[in-house]
Amino acid sequence: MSTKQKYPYWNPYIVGTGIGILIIISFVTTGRGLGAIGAFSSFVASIMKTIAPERTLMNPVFSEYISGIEHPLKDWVVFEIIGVCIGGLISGLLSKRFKFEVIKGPQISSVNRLILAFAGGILMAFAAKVTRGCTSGLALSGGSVLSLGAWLFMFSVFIGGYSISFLIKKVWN
Amino acid sequence: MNLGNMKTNNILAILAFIIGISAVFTNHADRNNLYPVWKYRTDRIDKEKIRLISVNCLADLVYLKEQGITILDTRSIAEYEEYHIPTSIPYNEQDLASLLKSSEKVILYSDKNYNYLSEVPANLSGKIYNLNGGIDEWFSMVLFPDFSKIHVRNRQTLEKIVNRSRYFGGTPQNINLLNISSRSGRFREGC
Amino acid sequence: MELIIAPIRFNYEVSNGLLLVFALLTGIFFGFFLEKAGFGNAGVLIKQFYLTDMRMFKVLFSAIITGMLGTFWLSYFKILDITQIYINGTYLWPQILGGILFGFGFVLCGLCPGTSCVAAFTGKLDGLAVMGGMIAGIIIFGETAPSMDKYLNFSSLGDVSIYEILNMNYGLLTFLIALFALVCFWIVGKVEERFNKKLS
Repeated sequence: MSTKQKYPYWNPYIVGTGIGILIIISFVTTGRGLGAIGAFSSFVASIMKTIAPERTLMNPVFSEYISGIEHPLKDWVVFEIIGVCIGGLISGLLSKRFKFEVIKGPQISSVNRLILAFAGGILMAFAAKVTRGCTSGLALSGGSVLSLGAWLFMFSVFIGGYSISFLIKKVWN
Repeated sequence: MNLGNMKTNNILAILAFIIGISAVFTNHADRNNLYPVWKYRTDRIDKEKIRLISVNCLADLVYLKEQGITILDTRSIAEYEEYHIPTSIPYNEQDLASLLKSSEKVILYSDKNYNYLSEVPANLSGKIYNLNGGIDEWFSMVLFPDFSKIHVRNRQTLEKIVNRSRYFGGTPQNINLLNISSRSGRFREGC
Repeated sequence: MELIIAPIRFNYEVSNGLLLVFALLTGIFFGFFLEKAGFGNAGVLIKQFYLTDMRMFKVLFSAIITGMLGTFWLSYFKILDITQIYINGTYLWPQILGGILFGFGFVLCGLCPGTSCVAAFTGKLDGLAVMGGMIAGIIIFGETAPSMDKYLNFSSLGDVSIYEILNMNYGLLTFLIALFALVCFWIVGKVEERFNKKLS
């Protein structure tokens, strides 16, 4: 993290304005904002449908993704996340930031870092399903239309993050 | 933070401030004080293009006493006497031409489905709208909204529907069976 | 009484395939912007929570106020119909408590769901681990959610916006939030300077 970069990061305010314009364009054309967790839900639902169709239909959470005429992967959010991956890849290649590595601090091993990342992913996905959205879908798009739940969620994320960050300092320094 | 960044940040901040503060001086109607959005959709019957407006749109137009609209009841006179949408008049073929000249828009309604006129001169057909669903829809959505069937998105919409129903002399039904949710699916909500 | 032309999807006939292609394009730009801001690297994102590099806050809030001002003015000029766009539902306690849990998870791994895809596709293996963890988390949720149904739908207020709850003018609220964000950006700049001076 201390190596000198060939291409510096962009000004965060410019990036924020660009993402905001994307949100506006998204509202104007489709009437909804961005999203991220919905793609993972659809993906899991479609995988479970191929593995165990009867059990998935009985489950009230997943059955809502697979009931209907369209295939669950033919969803707006799924294609958007595929686009996010492609866009990240393009930018990483252009800025020469593409590198197979594990981002971690010097005091922790790679394996422990990956285990913690896996655990963090479990917590995040569970919480995102409970709150009906993640940062990009709820905080960004919901915050733009001034939804009450979106703003409460955003403040809670910061509170939760700051309250626990001092406990895991060892991971990063 | 180099100087170029500071300049860009200051420009962005000033822009945001100007755009934001001019919002204070507007009188923007939000989602529930409906600005009467003249929303219609077009449909095709036998290659004729007709314009449909929804019952909710018509109810808001009457409730807000919008000027320049004439509502015509195309059913029989007996049915008109029994019940008609407030401020509507019976449809009379001869008066149509003069009505089209005097008022901006003309809305036709009937029992269930819309009907359309085939002898309207082309330059005046843009003024004619049909009520989607007719009187039946008016009864079920405006006068006697059944909240066990109608999906309500928040409490403000609920109050609006209830007030409007009472304004037109109807009674809302099954408010105790109300289910407020932003989507009708329980677990597939959000993004 | 003017015509409203947006959202285009509900007022004109658009094929589903076109919408999906548009989703892909939107995603490509989104991912590009996220990576250019540096969020492909978990180390950059986590500095937010140690107050040394507040990039996440800056990007998040500037995107929100840009989107907010855009939707406000477009709907004021009757170009965008605000009754037709999707407003996220409010579930008071699930979202507050779930938000705190989300914050815990965020700090544990240093990536949010969208940026984890960006990280994974720029080669970072921890991004892949986060994606795997999210899939596992959704499976866990799917198994346990039906028994928690009562708690998940508790205190639902529906699609409410802040100006509806507080009964205030939409324009005034827009300006106040924009002002709040600008003040926060200034404060955050000072915080960054102070904490970076402390380290170096």
